[in-house]
Amino acid sequence: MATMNLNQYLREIQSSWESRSGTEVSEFLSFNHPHVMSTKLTAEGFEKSVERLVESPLDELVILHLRCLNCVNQQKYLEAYSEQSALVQAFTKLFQTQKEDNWALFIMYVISLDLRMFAIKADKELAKKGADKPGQTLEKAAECLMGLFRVCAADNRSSDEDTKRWGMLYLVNQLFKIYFRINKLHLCKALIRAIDASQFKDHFSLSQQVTYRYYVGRKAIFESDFKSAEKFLTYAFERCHRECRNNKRLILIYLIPVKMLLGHLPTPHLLRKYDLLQFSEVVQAVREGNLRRLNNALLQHDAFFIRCGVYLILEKLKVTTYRNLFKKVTLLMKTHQIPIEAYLEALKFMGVEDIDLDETQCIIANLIFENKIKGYISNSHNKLVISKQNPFPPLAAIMKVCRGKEISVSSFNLFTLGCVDRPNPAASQASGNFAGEAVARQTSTCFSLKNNEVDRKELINRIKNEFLTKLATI
Amino acid sequence: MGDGKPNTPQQQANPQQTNQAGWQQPYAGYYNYGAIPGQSYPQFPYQVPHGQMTYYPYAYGYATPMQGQWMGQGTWNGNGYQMPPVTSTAGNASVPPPLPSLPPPLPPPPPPPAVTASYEPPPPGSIKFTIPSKGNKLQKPKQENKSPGSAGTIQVPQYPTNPQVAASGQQDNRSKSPERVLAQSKISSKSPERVLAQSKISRMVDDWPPNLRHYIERCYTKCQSCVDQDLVELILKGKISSAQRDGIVFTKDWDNEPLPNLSRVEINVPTSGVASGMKAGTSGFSVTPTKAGVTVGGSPAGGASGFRMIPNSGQNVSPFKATPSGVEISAVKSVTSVAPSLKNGKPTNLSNSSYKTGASILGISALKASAGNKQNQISFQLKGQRKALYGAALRKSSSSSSSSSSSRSRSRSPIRSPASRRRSSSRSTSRSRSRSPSHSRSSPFSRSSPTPFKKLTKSQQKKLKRKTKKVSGCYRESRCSFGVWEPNRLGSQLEFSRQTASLYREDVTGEEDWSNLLIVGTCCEVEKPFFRLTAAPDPSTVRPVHILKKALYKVKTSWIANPDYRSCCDQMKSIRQDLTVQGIRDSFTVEVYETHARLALEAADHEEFNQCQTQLKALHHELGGKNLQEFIAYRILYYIFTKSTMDLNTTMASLTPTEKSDECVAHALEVRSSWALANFRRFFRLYNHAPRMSSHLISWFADRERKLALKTLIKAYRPNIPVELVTTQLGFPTLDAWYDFSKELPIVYSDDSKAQIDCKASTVNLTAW
Repeated sequence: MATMNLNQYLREIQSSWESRSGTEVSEFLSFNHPHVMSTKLTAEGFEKSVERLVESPLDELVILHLRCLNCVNQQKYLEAYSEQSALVQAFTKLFQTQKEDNWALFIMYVISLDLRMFAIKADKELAKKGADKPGQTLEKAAECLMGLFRVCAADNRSSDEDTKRWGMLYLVNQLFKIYFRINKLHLCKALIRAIDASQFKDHFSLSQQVTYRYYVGRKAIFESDFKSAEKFLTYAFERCHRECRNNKRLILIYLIPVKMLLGHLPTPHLLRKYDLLQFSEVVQAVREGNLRRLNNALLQHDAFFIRCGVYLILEKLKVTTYRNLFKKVTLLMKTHQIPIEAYLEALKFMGVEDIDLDETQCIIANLIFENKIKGYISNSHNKLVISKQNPFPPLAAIMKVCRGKEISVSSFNLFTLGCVDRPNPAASQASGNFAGEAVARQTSTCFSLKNNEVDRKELINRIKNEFLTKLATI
Repeated sequence: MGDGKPNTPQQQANPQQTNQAGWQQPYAGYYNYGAIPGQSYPQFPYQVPHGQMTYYPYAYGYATPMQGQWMGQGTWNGNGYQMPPVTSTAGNASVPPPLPSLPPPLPPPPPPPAVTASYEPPPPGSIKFTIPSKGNKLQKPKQENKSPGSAGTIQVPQYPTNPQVAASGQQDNRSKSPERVLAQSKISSKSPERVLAQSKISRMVDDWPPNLRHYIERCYTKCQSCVDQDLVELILKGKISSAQRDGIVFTKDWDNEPLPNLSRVEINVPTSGVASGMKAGTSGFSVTPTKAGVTVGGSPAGGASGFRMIPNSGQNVSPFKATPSGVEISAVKSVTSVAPSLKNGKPTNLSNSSYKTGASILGISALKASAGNKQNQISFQLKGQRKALYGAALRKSSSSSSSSSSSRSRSRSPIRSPASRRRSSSRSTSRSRSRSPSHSRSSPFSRSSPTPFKKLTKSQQKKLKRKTKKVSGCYRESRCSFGVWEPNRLGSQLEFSRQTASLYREDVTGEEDWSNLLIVGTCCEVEKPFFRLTAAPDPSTVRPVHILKKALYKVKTSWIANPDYRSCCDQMKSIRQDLTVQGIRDSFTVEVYETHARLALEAADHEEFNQCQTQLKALHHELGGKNLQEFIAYRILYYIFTKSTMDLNTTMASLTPTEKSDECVAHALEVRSSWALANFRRFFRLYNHAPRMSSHLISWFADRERKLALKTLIKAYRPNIPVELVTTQLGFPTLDAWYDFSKELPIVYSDDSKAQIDCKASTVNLTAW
């Protein structure tokens, strides 16, 4: 293949075209196929040979493909992009004339993929030249792909087997990739609507569905719709092929923060397995209610988190951390009427600067508002009065209430998330030492109860020494 | 408009006219659609007929393909421009509605003029003319429409002018065109008489002065082929009719009139003309036609579609060669020319006339061409079928796509009788509007040389596509049509594809070249009201930098003395516009935008602020600036205001440590953090200690956050919450501010003095807000 000469190449592509083999033709037009290694294909004057050996609609595609190949060989990606986009446009016209037929979908897949790749490279080339608009080529590529998408979406007269609508999801995914890259998420809405309305919604190939859900989930995160984000990302994570570790890791980068926000912490094992140890400090800090540690963890990896776009979600974990911290303080105080100063001391102890009583009240008010603490603040006594029964309900339970939907606990086999709270005292007693090695054994119900137990003791020791005396005097 | 200068009366009138008529019009059309629906409407009726015309082409017969294309374009332009009063209206208050300059951008004109300059054909003038008569008919309707507004219209003519200028001299150009056009114009003006056009023409010929007749003879002797003859005919018609219009047929010095240059035409016209024409055509289709015109003007903002092509043509043809500078000149000249015409009180400007001439010429040629083109017919039929299916979509596509289809339709349209027009219009208004113009344009090109034509088509297609995309809806359709057409049209697809590709690249380069085209203002008025450009900018209404500096200073002082935001904003916008138009991006630009951003901040003008900060983002990126960090902070706060998490994220990702340590940025980041965590206590404390103008920005969303915070407080406290605590928590400076804020809210107080809020009772109403 790599040494294929032009005539061979042309004859093969022509014959596969005649036999309407979409996969074969697509290979010959793809840049992921060994034929691109052959130097003989782009010899001077190849157009003539193409004209001679390849018949009408295909010849245009082949010529454009070879020209593009030529540009790629010379590392001229800007030109390569324009050739490829001409190819896509030519194909679009051709594709449209093929009524009641969708065997050429495979060709569409490869050329649109290559188009995106070249657009990315062309943008890099432009950036080197100092172009001020990043992503301009990608934007053009997106328009090209939209043209294809319209052809596909409009093909609703063909039978279910032959309709081009089967190609919609692939194109949507390509477009998602572009839109996410150029920060134009608002353009995704129409695409999502189109897919939602499609009768094939659940019948596209699994890989495409996984990709689709990944992007839709990410979009939901940016819209702060964590509930559906979790749903989509969980689907993607569970259905993603097991060999695709990198893809699974990418999914986890977004799934972990969302899950944590909803009250499920990942196990160290999971983090280690997918090389996401950046999260481990965050997880530990949240679990302990250790604000100082959380701040340090966020600071330490902020570049990574911001690049992935999860920093702002992780920051919201502070609220969870407040809750865990306050819970510990409450347990320490062993009463259901706790002076606000106790919390203030704890916050100060955690290194929160220039905080005052008002702000502490504000934080507590927020926790109450979000149902994370059952109780109320009595301003006249300057105390927090908590419910005698389950004053700190488990986060997951709160989310359940909030969402009105049950979290599917069963979906955590792989994820092995721990709940921030213990479900009941018995369970906490049962689980012995919560350490790294034990986690692997614990499966979906690997709650970090034990951990809380340990933390509490630790904290009691620390806090006792630091400010227990103060608290007592209040 | 600022016209303090000596020529006040004229100039004032001129700038406006120019803008509205020629340059602005194209724009006007473009913007009008969206912005000023009411105004744009008038256009439609006119345009529709044109579009309709497209359908009729059959009747007239197809000229040779090449001719047809030419004619289509030319005709269309001539007619189209004059006729459609539509466009201009939108932008210009000054121009009377009837005058409205032409919506369609007129791309094609340039090529014809070039031809004119060097041409000389020998053969039979009279016979030839008869044929053109058909063309005249077509033109007539359009012209009629235009005539009322023609005076205003004019900048379009500039195109033709430029080339001519290069070749001979402005004045010459003018004089020529008017004269030749005479015949046509007369015919056209009298619609009822159109039918008789042929006979009339011949009659007129008799009336012509001997020197004119000699001139015509000389021209025809220069012809070596029938194609040449057609061309000459076109050119002559244009010249004579314009002369007639201006009433100088008998006075003009025909003996010294330069002969048309035939040789050039063949080569050049196709490329340059086609390209520009095509583009224009495209634009014409979709609402955008105006745009093309704008581009031509050389405004940086413009799509440059119309303009771009010119450079290419210029390479081939010497007259056309328009370097950027050349363009500028031409624009200026046109302006001046207009002035005289106004003085005279003539309805049409000189520039107009020249322009028209060009158009008319084209039109004539188009007619002939239509007669001969068989290929076109075939394709056309296909088209027709398609049309039935796709309707509007096809039209677009057809225009862009192809030469063949377009040429036919075009050629017809000009010829059509009013009655036919009406018919067509009734069929489908919407389509015809946009489409027809484009078709006609494309056709002219094809005539001269088939190949170039094809190429053009491609480029057109591309352009079309772009435009259509912008337009949005019709995009797909155009594609469909493409698919249909191409195979039929082209003998070998291969060739087609190749051409396409090469064209595509050319286009790109062309764009770049023209985007650098900038004008230098000459206006010396310090103050100038803002007026959204609807055409290419006119240097006489644009202020150069040193004046702008004075203007900025004046705005600043006036703001301090009397903070009237509306007038200041208006001034700032016009300053910004002048800067943009002249492509000035330096520290002064930064200062202007910063100033305006600050004004907008103080006046809580969200939209203007957003425009400014978006620009500042780019400007600071390019040039830096001492206030860079301050505006980063504002941007972060603005994103909080709009709750755009994505933008916040990207902004934060781009911050460097030094930027983060800046007072303003650090403050903004803290605000963001407290906002994200709903830590309203901290949020309002930061609000009360905001550096520079940050507090203005925060105030935009402070009340939104206060409401949320109040809800939280009411839910969290029991049994009561003292108002005093609320005011401190929510950062109210005074108790009055709190009562002011809360009077709209359903808050229940537990005591008569309103010092304690009854939380439980208030909670009931919580969901309501």
